[in-house]
Amino acid sequence: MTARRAWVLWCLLIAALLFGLSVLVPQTHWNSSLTAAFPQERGQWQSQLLSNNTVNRQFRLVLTGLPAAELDTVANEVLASTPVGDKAAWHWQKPSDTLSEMTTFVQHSAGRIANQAARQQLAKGQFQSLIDAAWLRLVSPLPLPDDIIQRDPLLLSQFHLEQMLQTTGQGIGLQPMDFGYAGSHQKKAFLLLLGQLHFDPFDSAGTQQALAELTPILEQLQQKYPELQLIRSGVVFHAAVASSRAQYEMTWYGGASLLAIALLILFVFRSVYPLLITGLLLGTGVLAGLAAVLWYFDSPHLIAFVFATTLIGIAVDYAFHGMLAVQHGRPFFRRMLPGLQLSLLSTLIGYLVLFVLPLAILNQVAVFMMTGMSVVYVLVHWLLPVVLPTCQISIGASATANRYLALWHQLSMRRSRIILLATPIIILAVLATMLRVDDDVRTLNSINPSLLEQEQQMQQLTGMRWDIQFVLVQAKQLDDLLIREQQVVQLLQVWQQQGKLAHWQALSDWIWPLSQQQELQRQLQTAYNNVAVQDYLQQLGVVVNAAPPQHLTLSQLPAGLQMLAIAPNLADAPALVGVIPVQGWQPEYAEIEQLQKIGLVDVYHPVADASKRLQGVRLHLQQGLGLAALCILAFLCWHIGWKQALAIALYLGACGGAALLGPLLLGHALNLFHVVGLVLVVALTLDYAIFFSSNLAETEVQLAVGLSALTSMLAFGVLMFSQTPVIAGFGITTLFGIAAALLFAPILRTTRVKDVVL
Amino acid sequence: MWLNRIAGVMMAVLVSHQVDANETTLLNRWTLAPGHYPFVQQKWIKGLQRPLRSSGYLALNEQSLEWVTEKPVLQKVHLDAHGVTLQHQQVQAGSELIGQLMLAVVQHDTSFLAKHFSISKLQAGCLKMQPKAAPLNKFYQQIQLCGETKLEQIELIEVKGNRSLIQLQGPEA
Repeated sequence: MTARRAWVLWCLLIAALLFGLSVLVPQTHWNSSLTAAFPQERGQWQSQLLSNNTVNRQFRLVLTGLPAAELDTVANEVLASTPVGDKAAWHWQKPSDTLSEMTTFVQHSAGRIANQAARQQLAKGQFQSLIDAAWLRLVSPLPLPDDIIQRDPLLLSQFHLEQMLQTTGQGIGLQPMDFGYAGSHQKKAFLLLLGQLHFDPFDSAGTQQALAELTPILEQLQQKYPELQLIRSGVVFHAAVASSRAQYEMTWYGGASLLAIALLILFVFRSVYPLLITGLLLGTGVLAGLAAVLWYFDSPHLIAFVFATTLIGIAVDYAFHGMLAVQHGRPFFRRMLPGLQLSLLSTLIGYLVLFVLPLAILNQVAVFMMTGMSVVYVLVHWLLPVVLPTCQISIGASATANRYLALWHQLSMRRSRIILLATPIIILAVLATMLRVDDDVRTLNSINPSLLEQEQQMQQLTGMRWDIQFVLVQAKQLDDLLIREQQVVQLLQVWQQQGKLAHWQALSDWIWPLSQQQELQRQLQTAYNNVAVQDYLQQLGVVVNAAPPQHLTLSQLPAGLQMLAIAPNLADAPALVGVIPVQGWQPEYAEIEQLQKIGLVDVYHPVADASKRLQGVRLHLQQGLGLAALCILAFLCWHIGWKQALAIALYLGACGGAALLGPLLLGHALNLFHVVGLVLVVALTLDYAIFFSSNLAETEVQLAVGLSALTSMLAFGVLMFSQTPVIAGFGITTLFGIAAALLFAPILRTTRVKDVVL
Repeated sequence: MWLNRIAGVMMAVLVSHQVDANETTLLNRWTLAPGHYPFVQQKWIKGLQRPLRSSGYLALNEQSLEWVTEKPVLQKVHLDAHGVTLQHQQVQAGSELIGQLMLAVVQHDTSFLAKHFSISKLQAGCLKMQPKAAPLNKFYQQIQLCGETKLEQIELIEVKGNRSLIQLQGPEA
């Protein structure tokens, strides 16, 4: 192949990838949330539950710092500036709308629902108490919903509604206004506005649209009213900060590592050509990886691309081996290729483990890396020898590599072997004593201090809490669901009286099983035939309709209450799921057991559930990594002999141990993403081990491994300064692991008995 | 919860005085001193053929107000800075503002009423108060206050057509 033909092929490949990306990118829905990337082990209907959960979609804005009258004006200006229509990113929830919905529901439910006390009085025939209560309500100056007295002369449904509003209401001390809730704290007036997003807050495009619309409104208000204090709360604000930080870090760290690699190449090869070729190799690999991820996944994750910048570190390893080998002629290059192939194969096996794990973010990293590395390998193998001209390799770089190797060669083989055996044992022993694991998802992402302070202020002002546990009740039919929910509510009532929880909302509080609705109608007919009740009806001049009213159904509930039941409509899901949000509750194991005894009832907390899933994935990854390492070592055992394979295993143990020891020494507890870092360390360590085990010239191997390790450490090490703990943890793990691999690699040559044919 | 707030506003209306500069003359005449004020209420409810009659008294103190219905049934409602307390029940959640509103009236702070109502003259000796915003405007079309030398009559006209007429007497010694 001529150089010209090679360049044409390369350019065609790049053009094809760019074309593919131009088609794929506009259709891509980017994601920025770690929790959104977790596997749905519990079934799709759980995911539907989360998407329907208004707590995640809701955001809160408190206006304060001005007199109450001025706050009203500010709130009206906010409402007037808010975009409306189908394309709007959010809307404000108006208390007056909720009130209207509830009033309509009361009219529908008149005579068809009653509270527990009234039902007991009906059952015991204590009609006079019911009559007295109705009189009190009628003569009070309070308004009554339209047209209920004829259908519910004892006002049982009205009392039930008032009791429900009383017991399930939150935000003590808040006054519903037309546009929000007014309140005061320590004589300081405030207004609370509730916003409802029209999309998942973890959807970065929607988040950006919402904030692009909301931020200018708030900035203008802040300029107009300098004394105005704005307090924000809601998942959307946290997701937006995490998203922009991930994008910033991806750009900055990617750029920094590219610059470092450029300087290294210029220093070693003293020519711009290798720099250009390396840039093209990496660029093509990145484009191929990106195209593969966008083609294969519906919702690629931004955090996955932060991890995937590590392709720069691994792929440049191939570039260095290739470019250094080309300088020594075709025969040397051909001798180098088996090592490169073996290296690619072992690395692909490592990433294949990530690909089969049930974690979308890892799958995306795996697809990106496998595609990118494969493309880079193909280019290095077939095009690099043709297009790369001869260069002058830095004498200083070669001399440094030789000096470092000379240090190792001062050791006798016996000492080298003792070091090779003792080092992993010592490192792993220290690791075992210091080992600390924490799978809590909340530790993966650092919360912006300003937003955290605002959340606390919001809670202090309004008395509202948004940390909610969900009791999920499964059933085939609505009646089964309601009966089961009533059993749950009985337990919740006991725990509420014991001060273990604050409030809940259950569907069965608003609508009853059919048999109970029929029973109420029978009891009411008995009551209407009672002398005292007839006297009361006569005083009112009301004639009760003999025909019982139609039964209450789910569709008659206000929209806000209909979310208490989900029909997932999926093959593997229950027909109906009742969702009971419970506020201010930290369930104990015994309480969960009591609920589960009812049958088809479970407690679900998004954070606890995500942490459990994260732990599951970590354990899967550990097992998968162990299995992959064993497979690779077995393969090497067969390919290069058991003694050298054992030496590689000890070397891997030392480097892997060092990778995990690093974060522990810095005070971090290990989690899934440290293990992800360990996967990369194992992949790189195997690369180095394979080349040091080969019979290639030691100086060239040390130079290539040294350059590769340095660039990888720069690329990965920069990540340790990330403000996102999960990214920083990944950076620390890989930095310690690769440093150990670089420093320790020559021992594989000094302990080697004979040349190894790869 | 919101019903208690409306009740609180009602209490405030019963003892209301100066709200708007234009109506100050009339409202100033209606200022109520602490004491017992008997009342008779007639309530027209849609679907009922005749009005419901009830009677009782208001016990007004500087720090609280008792709304006591004696006929046809005995009922007491207590309002203060902590909120609204119905008979034999706890303070109603969310009613603090109403307690404050009532006290503001007693303590001659008119900004609360001005915040919730647009006030205008209706006829000789009468004022019309129209709720400015939800939730009041969802239930009340308007509230009319009438009196010559003192507040004598309050009429509550609901959006749906129900109507209450409260006639005040007193104060009792």
